[in-house]
Amino acid sequence: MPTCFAPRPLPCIIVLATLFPVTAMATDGKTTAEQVVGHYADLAHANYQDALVAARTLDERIDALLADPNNETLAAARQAWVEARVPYQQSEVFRFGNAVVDDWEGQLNAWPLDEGMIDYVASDDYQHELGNAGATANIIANQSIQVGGETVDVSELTPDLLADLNEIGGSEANVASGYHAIEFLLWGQDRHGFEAGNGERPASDYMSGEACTHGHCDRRGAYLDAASDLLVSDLEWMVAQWAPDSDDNYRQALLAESPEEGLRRMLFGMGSLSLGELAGERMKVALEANSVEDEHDCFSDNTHNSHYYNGQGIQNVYTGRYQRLDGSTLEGPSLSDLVATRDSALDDTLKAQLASSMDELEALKQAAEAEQDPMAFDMMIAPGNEQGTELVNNAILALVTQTGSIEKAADELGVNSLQSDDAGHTF
Amino acid sequence: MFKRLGRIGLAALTLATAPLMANEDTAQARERWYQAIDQRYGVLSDASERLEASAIRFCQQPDTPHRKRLNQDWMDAYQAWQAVRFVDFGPIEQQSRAWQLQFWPDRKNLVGRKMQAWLAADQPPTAEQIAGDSVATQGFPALEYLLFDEHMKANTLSQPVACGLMKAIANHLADGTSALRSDWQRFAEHYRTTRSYTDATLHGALRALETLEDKRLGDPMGLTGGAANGYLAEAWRSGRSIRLIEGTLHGLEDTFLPGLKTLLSSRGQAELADDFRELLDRTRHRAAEMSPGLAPILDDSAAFSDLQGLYVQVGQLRRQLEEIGGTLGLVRGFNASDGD
Repeated sequence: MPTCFAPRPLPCIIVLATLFPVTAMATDGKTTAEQVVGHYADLAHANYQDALVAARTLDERIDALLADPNNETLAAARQAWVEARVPYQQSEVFRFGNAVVDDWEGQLNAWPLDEGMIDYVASDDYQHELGNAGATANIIANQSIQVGGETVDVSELTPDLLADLNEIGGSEANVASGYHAIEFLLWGQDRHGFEAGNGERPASDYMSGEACTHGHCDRRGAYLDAASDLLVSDLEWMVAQWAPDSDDNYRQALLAESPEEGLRRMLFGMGSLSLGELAGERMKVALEANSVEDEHDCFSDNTHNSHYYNGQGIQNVYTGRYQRLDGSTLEGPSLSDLVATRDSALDDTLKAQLASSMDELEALKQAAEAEQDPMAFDMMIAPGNEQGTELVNNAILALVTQTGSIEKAADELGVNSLQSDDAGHTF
Repeated sequence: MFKRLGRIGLAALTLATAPLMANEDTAQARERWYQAIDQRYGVLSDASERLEASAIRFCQQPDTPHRKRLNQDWMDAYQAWQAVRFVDFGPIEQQSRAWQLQFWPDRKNLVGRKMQAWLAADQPPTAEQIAGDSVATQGFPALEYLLFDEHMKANTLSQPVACGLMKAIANHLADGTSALRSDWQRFAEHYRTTRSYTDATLHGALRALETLEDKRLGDPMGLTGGAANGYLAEAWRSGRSIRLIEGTLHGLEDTFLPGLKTLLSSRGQAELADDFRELLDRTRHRAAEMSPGLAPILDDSAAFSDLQGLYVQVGQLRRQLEEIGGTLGLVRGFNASDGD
């Protein structure tokens, strides 16, 4: 559906809004599970379209940076990266439960990474995964790299090569592509620890000749270009998986399942992102261990936004509402409608809890973006920062609380097992 | 691909709306579990006190006998924790206590870096300072760094800053495990009278076996998608990974199994508990007979096949308990390790 790949997604909304017309309506006018799952697929499609649009803008800004590296073009590329995270982080709620997303997303959003595999790092301020043979490979500075007895020709930095280099040597910290690899190439290492400040990579890292800093600027530019191209093509693939006018994609496979299975995937995605991933991996580990290595967007210090839009994604799936990048809103039959017909008090509770989580995540965002004395996530998790600890803990608590109600909603809708039934699927 | 197993630490949520069975059937099982867990927390608290005392004695007189005793007391207390680690509900959920005792996995060597930072200080911290610091500085792995890391040369531990650091951590550990036990006793009534804790206890044991199979064995052995990596094993600095696994199996046998048997007997299914006990016993014996470390086994093909045997048996235990859970109508909810 090529029109949907265009930078102006508006025409698609009209199409999407008519996807589930009266034919899918239950005769008594009540929302059916089938409609809810269908709208969920619409929502995922719109979300990935937006992620693609934003990634294309990022790609253009990166091209502009590489054509003329200076502080302005670098700042513009960084800004585009931050904006690209807005739709992508909302889409992460589709990841858990939908194997097509989970099997694909590592190439786009794997984290944390041993960035010394990609480029230079400070020798006295770099902690990589213990036992990772690729942690200091520095692809940019070398024509070939050796990882765990394997020699790889990296002379030509293409999107395919970067995709193949992911997890080289069997370590998942060897992340060669995706948002965080691009983030590292735009910002560089954050060497401020728990103090204010993020990565300070100079634009001159992309200049040529004498002006080039830290060496290998041409290869660094080629790497960034390839990583950005790969991000765009990966998102194109995922948009196609959710497109409504294909007879052989994931959307069709999902809709061919029983509506109950569709509901299970929706609820599983919400609960897993809410509890294990966002509250656990991305906040609690970093907070309790006072570990900047466990900060999600550690190069840019955009972590508060990544968390905020993860939370937004969970709310989107429950309410069936998604605010698109162009400001329009996609709305349709929702889990909330379904739960309300069975237990309106539970629906009210869960809606209030989702809103409360968004309030807590908003508080994180405001603290991090305050004009005066902003407190980024890596400052919040500093030992002894009581205010920061409280902010993060409040968000964790709200997410844990809402997960309890997500389980109740699943029970109410007859979704009995939230365990993934994929064998060998490690949840 | 790209599966990163989550670190357990958040409260496991279980469905309070779907109790397993009538209250009278399960209260008796919970009573047995309560007592067994109480006793285990007591063993942990006592062992932690002995460890603290041993640390103080070593610092007063840093000779070989005191050092041997210190290493042994550290191991005993660490194993006592393994035996009751399957309890992931109740007071252990407060203040990240499980992480305070054992921050793991620690892929990026946070323990090492935090310890190096404290060792570089002019003065050792107080127990209060340790209490306010990262969970990576508070537990058995932090002490393990001081006792076994290659950066700690033969006599460094006896230096005032290192010894003070060790005493502060041991002090915090002893205080924490003592408080954990009193809190468990305060929790008694709630545990005994709340049906959903039957589910929670079963879930805890099941998750302990899942963690054992996937993370404590599968990850370092390279059986979960990544390469074999001894640093992903617990207690790699001391080479005691298998001893800790043995501790967990021992705890499941003497702390979890009796209540499970009560539960199954009341439903006329005692034979399921017997089968589980038989396999658990065999698995524990196998672990007990193996050499203590995991990392060295990765380069020894004969020993590795023995380790694979252990891995397979742990997987069988997990499936058996899953089946038992299934017959009891156990419903799985989200847990903290749902994540990447």
